Amino acid sequence: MSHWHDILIALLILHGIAAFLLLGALTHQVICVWAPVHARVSNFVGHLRAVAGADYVGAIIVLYIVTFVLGAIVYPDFKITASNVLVEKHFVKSLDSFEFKEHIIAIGLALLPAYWYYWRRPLVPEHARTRAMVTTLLTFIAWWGFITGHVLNNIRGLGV
Amino acid sequence: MRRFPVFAITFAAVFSVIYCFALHYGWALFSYGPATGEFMWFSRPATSGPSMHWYGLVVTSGIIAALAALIVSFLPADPGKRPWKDIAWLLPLGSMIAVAFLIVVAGD
Repeated sequence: MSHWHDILIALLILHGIAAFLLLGALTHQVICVWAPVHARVSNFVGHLRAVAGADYVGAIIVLYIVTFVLGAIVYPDFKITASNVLVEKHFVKSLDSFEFKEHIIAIGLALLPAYWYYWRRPLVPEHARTRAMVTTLLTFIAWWGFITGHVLNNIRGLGV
Repeated sequence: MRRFPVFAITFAAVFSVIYCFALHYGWALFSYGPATGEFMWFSRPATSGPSMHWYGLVVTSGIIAALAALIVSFLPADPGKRPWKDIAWLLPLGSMIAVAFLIVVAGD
């Protein structure tokens, strides 16, 4: 096993960790956008809904870009190894899901400037719906990307 | 501060639409052959192994969207008119549906 291959596996694991953190941040934010609570809460769900969504924006943008870049670095290796296995074994739905992932992730990247603008403090009440929809779209993209990546990784493994 | 929101909204909207066209018509600025390490201009097959157009599609869409957004953001402002903010999510959503269609039905 070459040194570069070991690095790729490490990058793939980092890609997964960054995606996991991104998923958590976006899920918190989308919950507080659609089901906010302003009163004092004492239970788990209440705390989840009561987070300050604007606090997550910087982390979400950085995590999205880091996840995107790491994914783009490991992608060629996927293309020449895992992708061939999936084609040979006729995992058509898995391949289609992955293709959909790569395309919507690019669309999500282009959404980030608008996302940042709509979450800029002070939050403008007139932008609430747009803010919620942009956040929901990014959350869907992150969940789709994470689940697809996870499933494909389960099919192919880490290539070790 | 008018220019940035106009730029950001236009960029998201134009990128998502151009991306669909780029995907369907193969408008990648460059292609990459991961097995051979080749970079080729536009959408071309590698001499051996698979060919990757995704990077090129992202760059094509990014350049066109950035140019369009720059032009729109520098147009003279009409104080009575604001950019229609919902295109920031409506067009990307529509593009995601179109991409799903292109993959499943058109086989892109």
